[in-house]
Amino acid sequence: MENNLILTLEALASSGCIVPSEMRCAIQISLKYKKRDAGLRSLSLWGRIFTAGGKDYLLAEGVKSIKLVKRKLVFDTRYYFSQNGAVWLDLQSPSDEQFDLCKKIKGPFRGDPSHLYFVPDPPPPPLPPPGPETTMQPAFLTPTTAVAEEGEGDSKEEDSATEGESEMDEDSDGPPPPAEAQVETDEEGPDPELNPEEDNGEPAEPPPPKGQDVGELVRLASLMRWVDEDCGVVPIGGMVLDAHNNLVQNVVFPGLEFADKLEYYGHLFRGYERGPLSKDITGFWSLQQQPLTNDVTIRSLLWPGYHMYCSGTNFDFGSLYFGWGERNRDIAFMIN
Amino acid sequence: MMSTEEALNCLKQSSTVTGDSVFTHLSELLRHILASRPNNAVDVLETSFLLKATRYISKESSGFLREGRDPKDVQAVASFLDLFSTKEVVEAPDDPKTKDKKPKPDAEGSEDTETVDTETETEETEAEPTNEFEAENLLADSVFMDAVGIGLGRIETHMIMLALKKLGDDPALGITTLRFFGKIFGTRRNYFVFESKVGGEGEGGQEGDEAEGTEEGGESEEGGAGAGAKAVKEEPLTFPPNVKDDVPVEEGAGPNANVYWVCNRLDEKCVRLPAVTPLQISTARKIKKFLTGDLEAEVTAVPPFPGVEKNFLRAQIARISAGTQLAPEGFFSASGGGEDDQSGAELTANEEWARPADAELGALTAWVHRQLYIRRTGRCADYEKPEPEEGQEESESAGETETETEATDDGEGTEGGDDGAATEDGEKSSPEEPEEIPEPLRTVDADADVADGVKPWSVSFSSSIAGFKNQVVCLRSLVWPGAFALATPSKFNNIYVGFAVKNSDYVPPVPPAMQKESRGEFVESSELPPEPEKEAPEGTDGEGTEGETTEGEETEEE
Repeated sequence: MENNLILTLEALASSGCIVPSEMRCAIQISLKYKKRDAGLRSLSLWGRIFTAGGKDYLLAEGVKSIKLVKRKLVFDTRYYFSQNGAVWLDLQSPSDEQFDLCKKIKGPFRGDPSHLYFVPDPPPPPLPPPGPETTMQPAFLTPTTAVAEEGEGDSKEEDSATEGESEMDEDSDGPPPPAEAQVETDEEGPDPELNPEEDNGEPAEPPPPKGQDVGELVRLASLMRWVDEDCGVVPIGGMVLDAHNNLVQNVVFPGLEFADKLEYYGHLFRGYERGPLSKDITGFWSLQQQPLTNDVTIRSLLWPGYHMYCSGTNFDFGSLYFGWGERNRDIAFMIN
Repeated sequence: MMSTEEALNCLKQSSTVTGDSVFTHLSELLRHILASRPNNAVDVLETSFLLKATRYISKESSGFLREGRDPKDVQAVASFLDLFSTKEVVEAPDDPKTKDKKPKPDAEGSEDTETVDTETETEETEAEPTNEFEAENLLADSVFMDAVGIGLGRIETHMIMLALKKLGDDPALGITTLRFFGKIFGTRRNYFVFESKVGGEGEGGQEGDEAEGTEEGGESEEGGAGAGAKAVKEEPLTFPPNVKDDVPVEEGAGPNANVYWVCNRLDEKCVRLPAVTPLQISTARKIKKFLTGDLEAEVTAVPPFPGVEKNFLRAQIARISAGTQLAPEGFFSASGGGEDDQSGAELTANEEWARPADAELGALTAWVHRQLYIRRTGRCADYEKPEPEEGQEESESAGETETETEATDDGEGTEGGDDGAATEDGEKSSPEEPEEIPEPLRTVDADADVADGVKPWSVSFSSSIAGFKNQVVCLRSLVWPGAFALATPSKFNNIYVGFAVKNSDYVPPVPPAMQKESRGEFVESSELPPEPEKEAPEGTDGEGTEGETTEGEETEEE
């Protein structure tokens, strides 16, 4: 799992993956130090996020173990970031809710770990799923969740019948349809004529749009997870299960028979061998092979800035993400 | 009881499936264990499985067997080594860069110096003197690029310098100044792009060691560029229906002030890109595509792009350079050019320019756009559309929808981001909304924000340590990810490494306006209704849907 830092940077330099020399100088030691400190099996440079503020993030991913449990790969990976290359700080793995929230954030990273991104709640018709509410179904006693519950109940007709009583405690005067309109009002503001009579309970805060704040570090960790899931490219055969069912680097990896075929590369975090890149939507990947040396560079077009290389001579491989941290939303229009 | 030979024969029986045999497998296993010497070899004897699963057994038609035997591979290497050939090096002794370059091939280093001493030897072989040209010191700048984490790395940069030299040395091209523009990733191949001014103009490249000493405006440049254009005669482009190319091209000025050369591999011959037309620029603003790496590839997009990939690439380069080529404030001064028409303005490098302190360069006000702003029309110079004549009325209305979408989209298409005025002119009428035309050397500070509170340029320094001396300042464009400007301790440089895709959401064009219903009187016909005719596919839309449906059917059948 641990990439050879020098080889990876050398191979991907021609793709524009250059670590500023001061950071490059620092990570030589700091990554090793962090790895020992955190008790990791491996720790490798993951990428660099350009930030609007100018203080870029270097990211590293550590692996405690990758185990095959019940025919599924279970990853115990850790995320770390650094803004100067010397000090590596932990990134909390994002919860699924945070992860989903972060997918909605647009715009560049700011370079300030304390920056908060505001993620407005989605408009209610497709049911507001923001964060915690979806997970706690039993808690319908607090007023805020009651509102959410109501929205849920409205869209699912059969639920509204069963949960009706509990909701009625909160707003007995409003039948479900206006209540949904109420949620809408909270978010979009000027929509008063739909429910003029319902003004006693919740609509205390009409001006500020509803939503949640997400910290930059949460977004950073989510980005790593997201790119890992979408990319995480490893040549098939490059990693193998050892006797203890750990997925480890294959020390006798003989290279790929047809290195220029996407079938020979897998998404590590999406089943590895069972998730070859060729099963992705055609055109998501750009694969280029050098003549003679047979070195392969794979670029993700979904995540511009994700580069993976697989050497054709010593079968070394590795990948880096050097980008602005945004997924290519328009890819459908851009590929041929 | 078996004899040893029998046993061996049995073990050596090769599998019909993999071609492996027990004998070779076990010996390979033992060899591997002895080679890697794990502490608990017996515990991890699953190494056997591992080896079996992964060991390379040569097979027919294997990819490795081909290695190096493909004539294409050999040719690539041969042309690569051509870059290191010493024969032309001698001819341009004035250029300090070429001297830098020579010691490169280690083994041949000594030979090189010899050949320099004995110039006569090579002059015999080469009658034609090589072209002399100016180039910036990319090799030195690459160190600074490394310091801020941009560029392409040392090895590739050196290759680029060699390729640049090869291109500039060609006497047939007569290039006066040449610089590396950047590397553009395509889906199948990449482009290396070089930017030049083709010789022929008078005071073109006399500005000492500065690569683009003068930013030549129209007239003087025109002759040279025109001559070059003749050399590479383009076949006329086929325009899609409903698209009129009625805005004249700026020859040798504005977006065509520079000539661009591309190659897929640095050892290949560079190809000159054709001049860009205003229509190509304004169409390129409306589409968002990845390049493929094939210059002749078709650009399939909506609205249809007038040209092939080389035209699209050229249009993107024009947009990128207009939007992202920066210079520190005060380095150039603009002179000439009227109030309305800045395309005639000339940029002259200030001799007494001194590099400001690092902190000062870290402010966006300290940087200016070097290239002219490309207007909505796709030109830098002003252009008034002639009044449509009577006869043209019909076609004008047909083209109206086109220009309409252009106007609406323009807000995001403007390169510098100065789209203040260009936002809401939805309908195109004769008194067009005045477009705010920025000054020739407009400061970067005035560029529109990419999001609320986010400037379009992000400034970084080579060191995060306070008080670090001699910093390198780097500006990264958020509008064109991959575009960088950097201030080295002595000068500045620009480079682009990326996909040539602008960071803006793709807005599909508004479908054309509905056709008006016929106002003619419907006269009842006494004849029988005509036979239903087969519908002919019209335009690209018809073809597109047709293709989709057939595809759909196929998948259903499967």
